[in-house]
Formats: sequence, structure tokens, C-alpha cells
Amino acid sequence: MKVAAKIRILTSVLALASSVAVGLVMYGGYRETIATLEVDVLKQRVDGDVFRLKSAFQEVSHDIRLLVGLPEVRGLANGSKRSVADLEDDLAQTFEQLLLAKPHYVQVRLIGVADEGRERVRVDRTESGALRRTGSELQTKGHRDYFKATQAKASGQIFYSNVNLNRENNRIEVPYQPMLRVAMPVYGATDTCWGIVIINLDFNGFTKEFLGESAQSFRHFLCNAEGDYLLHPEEEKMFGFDLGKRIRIQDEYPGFEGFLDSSEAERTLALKEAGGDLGSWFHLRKVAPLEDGRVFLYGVSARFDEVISATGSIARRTFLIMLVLLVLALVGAFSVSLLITKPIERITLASRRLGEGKEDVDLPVGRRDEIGTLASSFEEMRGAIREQEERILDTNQKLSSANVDLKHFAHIASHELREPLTRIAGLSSLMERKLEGVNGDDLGGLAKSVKLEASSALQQITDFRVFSHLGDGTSVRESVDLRALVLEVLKEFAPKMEALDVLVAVDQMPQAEVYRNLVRVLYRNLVENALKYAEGSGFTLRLTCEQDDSGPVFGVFNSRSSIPEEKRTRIFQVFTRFHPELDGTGMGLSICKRVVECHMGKIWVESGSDWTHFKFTLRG
Amino acid sequence: MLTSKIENLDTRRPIIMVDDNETDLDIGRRFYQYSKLENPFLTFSSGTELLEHLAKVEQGEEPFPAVVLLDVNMPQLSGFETLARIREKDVFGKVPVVVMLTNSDNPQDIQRSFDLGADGYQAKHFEVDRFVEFVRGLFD
Repeated sequence: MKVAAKIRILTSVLALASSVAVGLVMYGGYRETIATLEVDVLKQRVDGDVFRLKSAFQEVSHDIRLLVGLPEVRGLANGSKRSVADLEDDLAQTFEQLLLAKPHYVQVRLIGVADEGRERVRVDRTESGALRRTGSELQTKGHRDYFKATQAKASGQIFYSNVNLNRENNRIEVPYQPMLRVAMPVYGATDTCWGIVIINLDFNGFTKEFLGESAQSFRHFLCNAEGDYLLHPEEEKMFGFDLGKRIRIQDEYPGFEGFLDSSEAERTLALKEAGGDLGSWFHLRKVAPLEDGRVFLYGVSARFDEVISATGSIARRTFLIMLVLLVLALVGAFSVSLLITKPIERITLASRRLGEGKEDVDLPVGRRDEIGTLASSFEEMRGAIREQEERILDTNQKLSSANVDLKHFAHIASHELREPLTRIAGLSSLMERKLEGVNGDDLGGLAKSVKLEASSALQQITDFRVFSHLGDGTSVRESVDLRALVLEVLKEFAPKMEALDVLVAVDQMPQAEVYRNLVRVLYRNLVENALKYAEGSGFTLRLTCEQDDSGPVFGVFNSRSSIPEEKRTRIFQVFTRFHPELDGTGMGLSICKRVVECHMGKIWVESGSDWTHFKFTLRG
Repeated sequence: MLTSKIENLDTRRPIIMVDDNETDLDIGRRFYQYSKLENPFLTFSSGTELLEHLAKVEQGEEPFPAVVLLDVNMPQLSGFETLARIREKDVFGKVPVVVMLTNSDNPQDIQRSFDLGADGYQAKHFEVDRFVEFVRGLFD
């Protein structure tokens, strides 16, 4: 992957990550702020409601104290100059006024202990107002729990009943009427309980009064200490415990599980409703508005619809900002990558032009940044390369001139020297012939020796010529019947082989694309070597051809010579001779090696105690 | 080595050897004595001399040569140039010419000899017997 693409991808990923992070932080921060604000609003609402709830209960307590302290009640309990009937009439009037003043008071009564708890004064609320009950309408209540509980209270203490549905003659009154009874004992002069004053309170009306008008999004809940609903926006869920089907707040809202028994004073739940989890809360608080310290749970749930819709629009806006940031970052990434890669591309182009041998290259050497440093280094490198190149050219020139000299020398050695040597050999051959038959004179032998030496020198020159021309490209490959060529070479050595009584064998050989003259030289040298170094006579000379995985392996085997292992590599080096006492130029095997190398092949020797096998390969 | 045998065995026809080196000519003459052939053995020390002689042959002053042994490596007019001149004249188109090489293993020289119309090529001899074998071989 190109550097530019990497930079672009990396920068884009970074940009994407940053814009997502910024968006998330923005959105998260907004949500957190909103949530804090919403919960604060809710708590304030609960604070207000609880304050009004306490005030309302205090008002009832105040009313009951007021009633117990009335002179009429005191008169009836302690005896008075006024008649009982007068006192009761006045009291009934006061009760009626109270009922008219407090719309959620349903009934106000004075009940005496005497006569099994008979009602002495009783005023009920009717549709038209307040109505005093008299005569047979007055009932005995001594058996009722509230009467007994109030009777047991000390002077000045108030009894508050549980809030439940009103019962008449042990049956729940229909329509359901949630009722709270607030009562206080009336003590006589002898500090014995004379009776009680009791107010029956319509609990629904009571709660409505203290809650007042409320926004629709607020829902109010009141529960007893066990969590049973006393107030619920859905009326069928209230007073379930009275109707044999308990519905408690912790059942409906599992988030409040454990809150009732805990020491927590309040708990806030985030309600996961349709439309998201933000903007809907439920705050529940423990309150004790009554003098007996009884605990109620008061709570308000609220749904901030505007906030929810606003949150959606904020999320959309955040996403838009993220997109804009991303596009900006991508454009930035592209520009940055161009900024970095453009000069690099210039340098690359320059290096390519240099590689093509062009000199007019444009490098950004004027820059003051890392690219400039790179370009300068590149410029220096170019200079160094040019210098090196000139040096190499110079060396090459020297080398080729040396090579020309060497060739010239080789020419002199092979040609110019050959001519006088040929003449010396010719002349000595004539001398030898002339001196034939001159008795008692050794001149003939001397002439023969001169001729032999001259012949040997000529042979050395021939070898040298072959060696110096090997691989100079003057020969061409041709298709050669190798077996025929080998037989031709063997013919040259026929007299010698006959003299040595050599048993010759030639394997089947393929037709091959080779340099004919070179292969002839190769076989000539190997055969000559075998005949020269084999000891004694009557041995086997075999020209082998074996097949291995990569093609034919040729060879010249003799059963009468041996080459020690440590010498088997060195023998292919030029001018290496292991038998100085024998004829030879020391170039034969190095010529063989060059010939094989010209054919991309390999040559090696295998040898035992009395045999030697030169092997070689010839490749296309 | 000759591509075809010399047909005319007329012993009056000379065998001509051309070489700039007098020793080589001397050796040639002496070697030839051992061949027991009756043809005259003429020597020239340059291609120019040979051409002059051939001019005389053309005019009938000298007998037509049996074979010309031509050294390649000569100053002024080389063996190849001389051969080219010989072959220029139709009348000498049939004179057998054997090119004498110092080194017989140079394929380019051999090819050039044949291209110019040589009838054969031969390395210079340094042994009486071999030379005799060669010269006799030209006629046998």
C-alpha cells in the first residue's frame, strides 16, 4: 500500500474517532445536564407536595384539638350550668360550620363513653350541605376499633386511623370512599375519658386539595408503609389491599425494591419508556406527616416530553456536526498526504530518471523540512554515484586496455612464438633425417631431442590458445552426435591405446546442442589424461553416459589410476600438476573445467584405490 | 587438406610455395626433396612475386602451376589478398590453392579461406614425414 493511502486511511480513522468522541462527549454532557435539571425539577415538586401534605395534616390535627377544647365539649364532659341540649345544639352548629368550611370533611362527631359509646352529636355531609343526625339516627360505636384506640390515648394525643375504604355495617361502601379518621379523647374532671371527638375525612378530596392543580405530565403517588397504593393516577390500582388484590409500588416499579426497608430517605428512578430513557423520572420519598410518626411514601413521576423531542433534535444536530467534522478531516487528510507524498513522488521520479541515465532531474532541495534534507541527501548521493560511475568507467577502461594487452600477449604467445618454434621443429626434423645413419655420432639423438622439445612447446602454445579463447563468444552451439565425436577423438589415440593394450568401451550417448570444438578438446584432454596417468597396461578406458534426475552425466573412467581425496578439487586449477615427471602443460583439466562452464555444467572427479572417474554435465 | 585431388599429374607443372620467411621456404624446399616427386618446386617470398609469375604463366612463358601453397601471414599483400587477386582472373580460377595457416584451429580463418576460393587449408608442418605425407596426398 502506498504511503499516501496509509496516511489518508490513518488520518480518516483518527478524524472519524475524534468526531465520534466529540459527538459522544457533547451528547453525553447534554444528557447528563438535562437529567440533573429534570431530577431537580422533580425533587422540587416533591418538596412542595410534601410540604402541603404536612400542612394539610397539621390543619386536621389543629381542627380536632380546637374541637376538643371547645367550651361546649368541656361543659358536656365536666358538667355545666347550661343544659346538655343547649350545649349539644351549639356544638352541632360548630360542627356544621366546620363541615361547610372544609369540603373534604365527611362527618364530625362527639361520642360519649357512656351508653356503649353512643354518638352524642353527629353532623354528616350531604349533597346539599351539612345535616345533623338526631334521635334514632345516633348509633353506639363503643365496639369500633377507632373508638377503643382513641379512648386509650392520653389527653392531648391524637389518633389517626389507617387509610382505607369506608365500611358501613362491615361492608365496603360503594362507591368506594377512601377514609381517614382523626380522633382525640375528651377527658373529664376526674381524669377519666369521657368520650371522643372524631372527624371522618374523605381522603380522595383531601389529597386533591393539597395537590392542587398539576401539569398533566406529573403523576402523583401515595403509599402506606407497606407500599400499598393510597393514591394512584389509575384509581383501580388504589386500595387493592381492601379489595383482596394488593397492588404495591415495588411490584409495579421493581426499581423501588428494597427501598421501603432501607435507610434511604428518597430514591430516583429513570423510567425506560417508549421514546427513550431520557426525560422520564420517578422520585419517591419517605414522609411522616402525622404526629404519630407513621411513614408514608410519596412520589411523583414526570415525563419531560419537550426534553425528549429536544434530545432527538440535539442528537441529529450532533450527528450533523460529526459529519461536518469528518468531511473536514477527510479533506485535511487528503491535503496532508498530498503535502507529504508530492515531494516524495518528485524524488521518486528523479531517481527513476537518474536510473535511466538522464541528468536533468528536479529535486526539491530548497525546502527546509525533512523532505528538503532527503532531497539534499539524494543530491549528494547522486554526486557520489556519478563519481563512482566515473571511477568505474576509468577502471573499466584500464581493464579493457589491460585485456587488450593480454589478448595481444596471448596472440604473440600463440602465434608469433609458434612460427619460430615451428621452424625450429622443422629444421631439427631435417637435421635428424640428415644425421640418420651417421655412425658413432650422437648428433642425430640431439636433433631428435630438439625436435621433441619444440613439439612440446608447440603443444603448450596450442593449449594456451584454446584456454585463452574459451568462452569469448567466438564459437556457436550446434547439434552434435556425441558418440560419433567421442569415437573420432578415440581414433586420434588409437596407436597409443593399442600400445598400452587398453580395453575401450563407449556408452550410448545422446545428440546434444554443444560447442563442437570445445567438447572435442574436453574429451581429448580427459582421454589423454587417462592414458597418461594410468599405470602399466591392460586397463579399461570407459567413456560413460549415465542418466540422473537433471539429465545425462558424462564421464571418462579408467581402471588404473587414483587421485587422493584432498587433491580432487585442486586438480582443476590452472597450472596444477601432480605428476611433474610426466609430459603435460598443467592446463588440461582447467581447460576441461572452462569448457564445462561454457556449457553451464559441472565437472568433478571420483576416485578409488585403483580407478578414477571424471564426470561432467553439459547443459543447454 | 584438399577438397579434391589435383587432376593433372603432369610432372612439368610446378608446385609453388609462397612465404615471406626465407627459412620457411628453405624448410619447404628441403622437406619437398624427401617427397620424391618430380614436379619443380618454386618459391616466392611475397604475393606480388607470385602474381608476377602468374602473369607470365598467363602469357604462356611459364607452365601452369600444379598447386599453390600460400602462407596467410605476410606483410603488404597477405595470403587472403593474394588469393583474392588470383581468383579475380578466370584463367587462374582452377589453380588449386592451399592456404597455409600457422594455427589450424581458427575457424574464422578457415572459413575466410574457403570464402575466397581456397581449395584447402593446412597447418604448417614441422616434421619431414608429415609434410611428405601431405604433399604426396595432394596427388595420390
